[in-house]
Amino acid sequence: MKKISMFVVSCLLIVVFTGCTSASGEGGTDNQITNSHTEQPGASTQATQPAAMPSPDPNKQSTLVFSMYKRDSYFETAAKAYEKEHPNTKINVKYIVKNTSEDISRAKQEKFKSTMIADFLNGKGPDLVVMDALPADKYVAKGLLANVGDMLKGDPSFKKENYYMNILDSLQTSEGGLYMLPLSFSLHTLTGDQQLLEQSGVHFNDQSWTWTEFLDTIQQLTAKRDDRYGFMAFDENNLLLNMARTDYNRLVDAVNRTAHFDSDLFLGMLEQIKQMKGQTVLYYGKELKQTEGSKGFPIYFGEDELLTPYQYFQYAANMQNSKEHSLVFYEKPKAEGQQPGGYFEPYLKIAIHAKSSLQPEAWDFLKFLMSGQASAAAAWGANDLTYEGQGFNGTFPISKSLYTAKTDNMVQAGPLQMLEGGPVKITEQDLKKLDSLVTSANKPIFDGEILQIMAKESPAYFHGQKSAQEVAKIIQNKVTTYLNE
Amino acid sequence: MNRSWVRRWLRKDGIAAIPFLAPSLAGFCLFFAVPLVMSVYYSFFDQVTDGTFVGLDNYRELLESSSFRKAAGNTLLFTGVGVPLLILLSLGLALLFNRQLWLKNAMKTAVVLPLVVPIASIVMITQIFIDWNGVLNAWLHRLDLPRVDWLNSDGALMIILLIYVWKNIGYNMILFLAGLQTIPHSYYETARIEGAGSLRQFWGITVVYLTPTLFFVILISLVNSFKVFRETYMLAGAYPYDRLYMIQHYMNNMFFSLDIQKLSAAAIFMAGFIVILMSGLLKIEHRFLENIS
Repeated sequence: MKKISMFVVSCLLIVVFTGCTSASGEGGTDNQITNSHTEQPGASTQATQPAAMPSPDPNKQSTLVFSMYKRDSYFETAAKAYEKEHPNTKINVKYIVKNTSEDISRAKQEKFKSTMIADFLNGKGPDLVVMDALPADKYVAKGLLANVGDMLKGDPSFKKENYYMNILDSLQTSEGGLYMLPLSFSLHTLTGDQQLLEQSGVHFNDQSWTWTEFLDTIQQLTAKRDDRYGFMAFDENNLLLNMARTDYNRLVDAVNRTAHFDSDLFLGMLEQIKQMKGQTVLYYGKELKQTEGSKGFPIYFGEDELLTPYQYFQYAANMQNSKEHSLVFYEKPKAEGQQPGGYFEPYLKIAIHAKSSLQPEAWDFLKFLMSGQASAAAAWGANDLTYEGQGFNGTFPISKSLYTAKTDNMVQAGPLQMLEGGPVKITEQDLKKLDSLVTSANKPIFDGEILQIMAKESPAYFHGQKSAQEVAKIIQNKVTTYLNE
Repeated sequence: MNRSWVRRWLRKDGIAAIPFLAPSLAGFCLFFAVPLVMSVYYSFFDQVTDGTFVGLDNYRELLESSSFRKAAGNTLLFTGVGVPLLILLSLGLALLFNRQLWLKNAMKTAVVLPLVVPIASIVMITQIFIDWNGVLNAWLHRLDLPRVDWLNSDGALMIILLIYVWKNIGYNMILFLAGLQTIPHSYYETARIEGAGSLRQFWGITVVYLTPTLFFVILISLVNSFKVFRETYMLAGAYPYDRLYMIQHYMNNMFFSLDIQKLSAAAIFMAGFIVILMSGLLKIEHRFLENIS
């Protein structure tokens, strides 16, 4: 008898100890016990009904919980403005860090991730959440996010013509659902010296080119003038990420759970990037080969992420200052046969909890956030060019009307004071160019575990530590593990 | 009649033990029993809230996942190699320290010291040691051998084994030393008088009387072999090289994929395996002790 009880106790002891190693997982399940009975029945059915989101009851007292990893001052001003308009609704804005510099080790971000998982799984998650720091596809796959696309379509007070629907439409899943609404976005483009390119006589079509075609083009360009570089990229890894994104479907077969990182396609990418380094492609922060013959800007193409409209106006100002070189924005290479249109990266992606009992209220507030009413007073300015520094107020808003209002304000205020050089007048033509960039963007930049694995392993090849085959093998190995979990 | 039964029962020792057991029983229920039951429950449903019963679907999916099979295989391999290795080495050390030795106490302290070193420091030191530009590769380079990316090679398992043995050898050694000290000297003296050699003494006396300790050490080593995940995770992240991908990696990644069902199924699978392993071990011990007496 004693033996048996000893045995049971020791077995339990072992499981307890080993359970500690996956403490986060067990903790999650632990919480679910207490809360699984308290959530409201029928709340989830609201999400599945398209075109019938009831308007919020104005007499009901409600508190919306709005969680995010990083604070954005816009959310606080917007929440105050909304509470003023709707005295019965309180908005509880919860954030983890004021600035990402508070969390260099990313420990707080990891904590945020696990808290959100535990909260969402036991049905106690926030009503609204900013998904930027969270793996959104996993939440969508588990049915934890409401289809905001349906809410948007079913709401007659949502005026589509006031928003950049090209952005929203391209964020739909393959089944046509839209689970996050981005409040702002950035534009990923190529910049090129139009005059130089025309003089060179090399022909290209940036509406349809693939990375191979683009790299061929810059090789032709540099073959003609060896005192110029073809392309200035951020760095090797980023170039590889760009190329892998466009060929993602040929590298990863999610349905059959196979990866093709050991294929000639991927090896070719690695080798091409290394071979071009220093010859035709240059990276930021490296020295230029300025020979006597070249003058000014010795590079044909560059790449850029326009995070704020102000960044564009800076370009426009530079163009006006230098008469010889005319900077033009080109589309980044895409997969073969893809529709023309530029790349964009959504920011401040907001989702509504599928099990929230306050979905009508949450949608109404989200609509208010998207309209950007609370941001109209904040001007675009030279304070800080980064997304990090300005937050929503400085970036490209999803609301077309807010964008127009802000640009009008800016143009009316007279010439723009630049960081360097004198004030520059923004012309109608400048604005039109930017407009066409924004309205033609239709390819979201995506990220994910697979691309992160790739980006973590490939520098070993670019720094000459390992061969392309070795690096490809390790990536293939890890991605296969990921796909087959 | 009924009353006297209650009175008799109240007067017994068992009832007096309950208040003393209550705190640990409560902790046991809160942190172990209830979560375990819930995990079993989740492993048969397709969703955490409002789920429907899916029978063994989660387990089938689990076994179909080649990554899970890989993780289970790696964990088995690590435990299968690590535990015997650790026990042999710690037993050897314990036998060494059980006799008079020069600087015995200093050396004992040195062996036990890793027990109190925080994991973060262990990971950092290991990183410095095995990095591409680390100490180990510098030595290889000096010997004109090619450098090795240790964490991305089959040698990665060796590194983790090394950490495991180094970290746990001291504790096991103390347990063995305590076991050795309980064996009366008179047994050895008698054996010597009877003319037994040192090897005969080792098998006939030391091993036999150390067996209860040995089983306890095996148990503790098993537990600790599952705990080495922390070091592995901090060294190599959520998706390490093939050889290092343990069952806890799988469970951890399932949590971050919000897949509590597969996570629970994997946990139950592992718990079941351990229960079977332990019952086997204890049966052997039981039989062994019966044989002795």
